[in-house]
Amino acid sequence: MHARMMPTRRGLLKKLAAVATMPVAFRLLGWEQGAQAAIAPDGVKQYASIEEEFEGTMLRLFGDKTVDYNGTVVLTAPQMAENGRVVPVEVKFDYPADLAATPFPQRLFLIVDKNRRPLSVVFAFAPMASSGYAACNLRMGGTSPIRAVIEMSDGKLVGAVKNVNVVVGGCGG
Amino acid sequence: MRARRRSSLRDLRTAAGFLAVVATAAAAGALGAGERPAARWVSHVVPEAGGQVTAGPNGRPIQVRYDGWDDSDFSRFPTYSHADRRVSPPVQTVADSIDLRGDAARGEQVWKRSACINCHVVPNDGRWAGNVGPSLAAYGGGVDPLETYQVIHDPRAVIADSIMPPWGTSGLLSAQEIADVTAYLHSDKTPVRDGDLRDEPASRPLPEAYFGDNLDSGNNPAVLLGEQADAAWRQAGAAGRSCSSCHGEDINAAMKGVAVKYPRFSPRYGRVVSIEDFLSAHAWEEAGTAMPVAGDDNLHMTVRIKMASNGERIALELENPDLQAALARGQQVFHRRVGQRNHACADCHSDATVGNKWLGGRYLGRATIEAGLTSRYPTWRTSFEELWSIRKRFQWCMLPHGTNNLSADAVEYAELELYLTSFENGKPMSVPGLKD
Amino acid sequence: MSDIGFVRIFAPAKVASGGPIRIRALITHPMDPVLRDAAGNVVVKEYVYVHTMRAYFDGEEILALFPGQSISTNPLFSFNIRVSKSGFLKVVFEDTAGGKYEGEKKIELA
Repeated sequence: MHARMMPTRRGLLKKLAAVATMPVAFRLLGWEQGAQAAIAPDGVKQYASIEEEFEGTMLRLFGDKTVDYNGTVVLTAPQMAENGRVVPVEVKFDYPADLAATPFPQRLFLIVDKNRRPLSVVFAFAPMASSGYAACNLRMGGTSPIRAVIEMSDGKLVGAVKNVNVVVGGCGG
Repeated sequence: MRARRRSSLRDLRTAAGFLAVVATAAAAGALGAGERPAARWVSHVVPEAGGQVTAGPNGRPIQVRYDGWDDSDFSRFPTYSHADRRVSPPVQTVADSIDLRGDAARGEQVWKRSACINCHVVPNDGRWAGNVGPSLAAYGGGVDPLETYQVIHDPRAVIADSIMPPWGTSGLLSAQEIADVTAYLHSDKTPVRDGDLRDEPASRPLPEAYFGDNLDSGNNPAVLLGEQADAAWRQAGAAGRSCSSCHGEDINAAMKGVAVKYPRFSPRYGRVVSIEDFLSAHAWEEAGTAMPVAGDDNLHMTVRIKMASNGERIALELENPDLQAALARGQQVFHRRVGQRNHACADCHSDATVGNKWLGGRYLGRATIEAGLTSRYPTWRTSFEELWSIRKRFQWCMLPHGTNNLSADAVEYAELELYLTSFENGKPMSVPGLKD
Repeated sequence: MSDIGFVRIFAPAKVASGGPIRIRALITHPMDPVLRDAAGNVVVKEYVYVHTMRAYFDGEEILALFPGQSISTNPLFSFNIRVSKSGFLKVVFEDTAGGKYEGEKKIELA
């Protein structure tokens, strides 16, 4: 994307300066102050979004485990995305009816294979929140497969992949 | 707007203003309820939307435009201004003796840095090719290179009503560059990659709306920006009044059914005005609040006022003869050829011309006057992460045309907006929009 | 609303017990990506983006997510939860500049 396609850069730098000097606003309600995070306490490091090749991302996250693209994960994304800044994706997946049942879907990884940073977001669920749905908007650097990988609490990996065309062109857009 | 019959002392300051007030008072029957005496249109526009041409940093002329936009000056080419009587350059026919010696490899470089791919397929280019013009995948055999040169230099000599730009006549490509591209087009080109949608516009699925409900604040940041204007509604300006002082606290009650009449012909200003135009004058005159067109305050308040009419049907005052005359002028603007590229809006934005074609990777069928272009403006643009009024969209289009902007509140743009809106008369308003 | 850190939670007004309900959590945030020039070199490297969101229901953590710069500006995260009682859903966003932003919504059983 050309530099001139981000016309708010000056405005953004102003905002960044404001954030850096802004006092951090805390509104704590007693119960979680000081408590260790219960879910993925090291998530920021463990699931860091790094500039790397796609194969490196898969190796880093999953080692030599294979992902079973068995149709139980349904990934919805536009086939023709009009720009790469906002690409809505939606993931539906199976989950056990009983909140106490195992295995349950514990992690969802959204990966854009050809992005500079393929790992886009990781959802980490407790059973109550692992209820079969997740969605967000991704940025894509260009046409690429998008991959949704569910890691079950027993380590098994299931997933879905879909190619998204990021179209460019027209009279300046 | 609530009926108010208070005359402005400002209007009486000048002789012309006095006469205008007297004349208008004499014709008071022509004033609609709430219309005030005639006044001159004073332009309140932020500098980056004003269209000023000035000297740039190294002395070359530039046009002041929005942050991050190209600032090339296109003064040499016709603009949309009614006062600009320039027409398209005359058709240039290339002499038979023209030097056609060109280098195909250089020609490919010219191709790669030009916009040709937006209309013509050349395989393996890597970019999304359009099909507005014929595919050039198999071009060359049996065509006289002189004709190829002529078509690039000035297609109108060969195809009378061509919408292809006259690259040579306009000075967009030099004689050598045209000779090089000619050589390139007559050289062997690699075949179309089967199944690659970049090379096969006709095989592409038509785009579907996927950004979701434009009125949902989760999807559309512009809804949050519109909601911000609630505070501005109650904020007093330099004259000690706020919008709420005269219109009441409840924006929805005050503004319901108002925006659907816009653009409308204002007898007070003697011209067509959009909500943005009207706010820039009205907020200043009544409240002493500066709300220049294309500034954030104006844009957010425009969104908020239109939101109060969401779901109501657009109802232009088409029985008004002044509006009808303005509509006719707007239609002329829509069809007028301007700029370096010699393009008219109609070339791309109507079903009758190339409405079912792809311009690069963009399907034009969703962007025609028949499909509807204005009922969701102002709109959030995801590709820029910004809220745009239709005037900014017009000004953006000026760049590929290669013509200088007019001011964002130019009457030519207002009349063009009126013409576009007329195609959606009767459709429900749904603002702010959400698009790429 | 401010440019950074306005949080809004979308949830149904009343829910039936047990069944999954759709929650959406929005934060206004630039999710600053790196800016590159035409050659691909980094021009601006001030990453300010949301790196964590944690969701709690009546104090119990139920979800964490870890976005990067490949998440669009003004992130909106959707997910389903199953509740068997009324309670407060709270989300806390954290960004790389040390900002911490939160929002809360009552989930009411019908």
